[in-house]
Amino acid sequence: MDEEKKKVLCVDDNINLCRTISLVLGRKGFRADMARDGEEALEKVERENYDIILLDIKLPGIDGVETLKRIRDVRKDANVIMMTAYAVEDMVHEALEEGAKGVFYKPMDMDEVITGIEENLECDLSPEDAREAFQ
Amino acid sequence: MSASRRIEHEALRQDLSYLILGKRGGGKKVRILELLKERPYNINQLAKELDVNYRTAMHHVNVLEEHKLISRSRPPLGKGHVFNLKLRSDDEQEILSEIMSKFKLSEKVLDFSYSPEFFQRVVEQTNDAVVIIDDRKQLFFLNESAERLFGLERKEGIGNPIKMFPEGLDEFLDISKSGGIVRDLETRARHRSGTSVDVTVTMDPIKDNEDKIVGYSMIVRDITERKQLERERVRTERLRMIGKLAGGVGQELHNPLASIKNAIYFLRIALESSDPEVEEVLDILEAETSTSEHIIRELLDLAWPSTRNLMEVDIKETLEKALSESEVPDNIEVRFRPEGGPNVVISHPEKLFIVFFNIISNALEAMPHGGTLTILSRCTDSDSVSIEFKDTGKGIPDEMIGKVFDPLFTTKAKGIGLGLYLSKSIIEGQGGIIKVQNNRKDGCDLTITLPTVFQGVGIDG
Repeated sequence: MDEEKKKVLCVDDNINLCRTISLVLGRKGFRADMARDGEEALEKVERENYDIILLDIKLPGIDGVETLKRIRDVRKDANVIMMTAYAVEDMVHEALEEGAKGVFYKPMDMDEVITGIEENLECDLSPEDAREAFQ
Repeated sequence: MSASRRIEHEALRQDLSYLILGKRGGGKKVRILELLKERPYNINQLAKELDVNYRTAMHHVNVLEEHKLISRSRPPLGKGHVFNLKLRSDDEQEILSEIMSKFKLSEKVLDFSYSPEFFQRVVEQTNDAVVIIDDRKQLFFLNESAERLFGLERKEGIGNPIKMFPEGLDEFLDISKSGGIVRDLETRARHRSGTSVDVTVTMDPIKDNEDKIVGYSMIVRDITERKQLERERVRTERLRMIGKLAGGVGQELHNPLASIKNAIYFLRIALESSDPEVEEVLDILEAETSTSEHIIRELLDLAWPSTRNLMEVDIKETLEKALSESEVPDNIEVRFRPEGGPNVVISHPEKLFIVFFNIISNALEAMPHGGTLTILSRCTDSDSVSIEFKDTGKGIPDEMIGKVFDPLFTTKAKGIGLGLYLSKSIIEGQGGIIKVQNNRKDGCDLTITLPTVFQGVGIDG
């Protein structure tokens, strides 16, 4: 039965944040997985095809934007939405250029996160349309 | 004049300057040159004219000859040599005259500079206060600047024990007495009127012929202006640091806040059918989290002002909105008087709302026993709008009025003192001015002047 659930990977070095997002998504009918940094995320992405990846921009080791590039090297059509707690507009801009579908500014509203994920899953948005939808 | 000629002249000028102005005995040499201008002289004749012995006259003549300013010749009938001026051209004569007149001037200054009058003038005319006390700490001398600095007339001060002198005088005396150096030490001096001034003190002992200390001289320099600039700089730096810190802390709090929000969200799902008390606690958690989020957003606004979302803002409408959202107590009357004209500025509507709301809240809280809040807005000229808030409250104590816009300044039991600081940052961030002063009767007046065109700088990454 688990096989039918949509799979979400949440990548954040703040483990409590990752866990609470996963718990909420779990209750909302997703199968949520977690990774603490870019390398762990890449290992998981290589093994499994996630429907959505929530990716923090500031990560220890390889940062979120670099992780995004490497994820898209492995899976060209990966659905990645960035998250950030900081005013790092340059990095946000770069991530969107690299094909991220949008960005959530922390502390985000979980209702919006769920809506964002669902919209992304429903229609195969082009990066431009997705950006539009998130702003 | 050819270049080589010019170089020769310059060489002559330097030579003469060195001989006449730069060495001892310049006066004798000038006199010799003057005499030889008229006719040839021998050494004996020159010695007589200069009232010096033969050897001295010979020495000067030799030096002048070495520098090729004079030359010797043997007259047809005489025994010894006679000397002639060697300068021939008018230019050369002119250079000699120039140097000689310089010499005469310097002689005058020199004569004057050794006179007591000269020293007195130097001391009187200096901008620093000069004070001399004897070894029993009684005033011996003070110059005009000292009279001004201390508000003291010398005729009443001299001979009396010093009263208005820099704090720490005894300490300075001890240092100086024991051979230490008192140089540019900072302290405060008192003016007769009671005000005190920031000064530096340099103190030196005055010794008699037997090396015994008979008194002390002090140079007291008024550094009020410098200190004020310094304090202003420290204050600006402090505010900048607070802004930076606030921004940094604000961002760091986003992650824990996000976890708390998500946890509340999760608990709402998990405890769906729980009892009303649990619901109430979840509501409290959510409300307080959202308050924290709001405070953090204000902090971030301070640290990183933005030029995004700039638009035309109607001042009258924004004031009306701020008033309608303020809880005006029954015992306070609000008089809102917007004057005609467009009263539109380019700004952030929500930020101006925060400013007006903060100011109105402060004014209302300043009148716990009731009163009147008057709000006037008008176009002062074609490119600015002025908004005045006048309350009839207790006003701001004088010693605090300079601090009301500082962060973390508050006289209220509630609030952390960011409201007015934030307001000032927002107004100044768009090129406006915000001022507060106590009005003559009661309460205080706060005035904002805003340019109609946004003149601020924003950071938008």
